[in-house]
Amino acid sequence: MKLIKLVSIWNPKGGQGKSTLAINLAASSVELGLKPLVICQDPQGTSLLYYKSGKLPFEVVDSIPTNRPEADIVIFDHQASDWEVPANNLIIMPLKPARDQYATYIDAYRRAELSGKRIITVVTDGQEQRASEKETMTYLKNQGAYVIAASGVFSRAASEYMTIFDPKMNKAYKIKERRMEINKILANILIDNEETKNND
Amino acid sequence: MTNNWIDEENARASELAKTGTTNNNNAPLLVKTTKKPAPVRHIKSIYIQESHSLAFDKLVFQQKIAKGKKAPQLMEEAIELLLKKYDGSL
Repeated sequence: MKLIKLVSIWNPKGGQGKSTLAINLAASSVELGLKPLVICQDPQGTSLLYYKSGKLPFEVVDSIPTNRPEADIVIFDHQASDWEVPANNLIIMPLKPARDQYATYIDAYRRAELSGKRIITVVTDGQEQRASEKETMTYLKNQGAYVIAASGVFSRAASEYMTIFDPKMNKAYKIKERRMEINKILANILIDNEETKNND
Repeated sequence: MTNNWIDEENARASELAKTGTTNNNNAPLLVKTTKKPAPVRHIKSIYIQESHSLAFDKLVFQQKIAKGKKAPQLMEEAIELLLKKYDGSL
C-alpha cells in the first residue's frame, strides 16, 4: 500500500499564512511529480476558494475523505482559533514576526511540543527592513525556522486565486527566490518518512 | 539574543503550557462539530388521488410552521410505515 505523507498546517492565530502555505506547498509537490491533496478544515474555506477558481493543479476537499485518498501527500489546512493540537505527527506552524503574533504561536508551539509532535516553524511576511522583525526572524532562523520573505508575489497570486507556482507568475519579481523558499520547506517535510509508517 | 521580549514570551508560554490553559481561559473555545452529510435522495413520481395529495401538502405546510420534518423526510416516514405493515425492509 502506498505511503501517504500527512502534514498539518496549524496556528491558532489567524492571518499567519496557513492557507497560502498549504496551497503553495501542494503546488510545490506537484512540481516534484507528487500528487497532493489539501483538506480544508476552515469554515472560511480559503483554500477551497482557490480550488473553485479552477487554477490549481491539485484537489482541495472540504472534509476528510471516508476512503483512503489517491495521494502522496495530504495537507490539512486548519482553522484559526483551533487550540487542539492536530493528530498528525508533523505540524507546520506559520507565523508573522511580531510580538503579539509570536505570543500565540509560542503558546501553541509549547502545546504541540508537549504532545511530542515534529514541528516546522515558518516565518511569513517578514520585512527585513524593520529592525524588530529582522531580529525576530534571525532568532527563529537560528532555532531552525524557515523564512518566507514578505513579497508582492503572494498578493498578486491571491488576486487571481492561484499559487506562486502558476506559469503566469514565471516573470514575477523574485519569483524564483519565493518558490525556492517553499521548495525547501517541502524538502524538509519529505526528508523524514517516519509519519508515513502508520497512517492506514 | 535579540529582542528582549522573546525571552519573556518564551518563559510565559512555558509556564502556561504546564497549566494546560490559554491566556484567557474564560473566553469561549472553538468546539469542533462535523455536519452529517444529507443522504442521497432520488425523485420518484407517483400518481395519487387529489385528496391524498392535498392532505400531504397540508401536512408539509403544518410541519413547516412547526419547524418539523420536511417533505422528503415525511414521505420516507410514510414509506417506512408501509414497509413495516407489509413486512418489507429498506
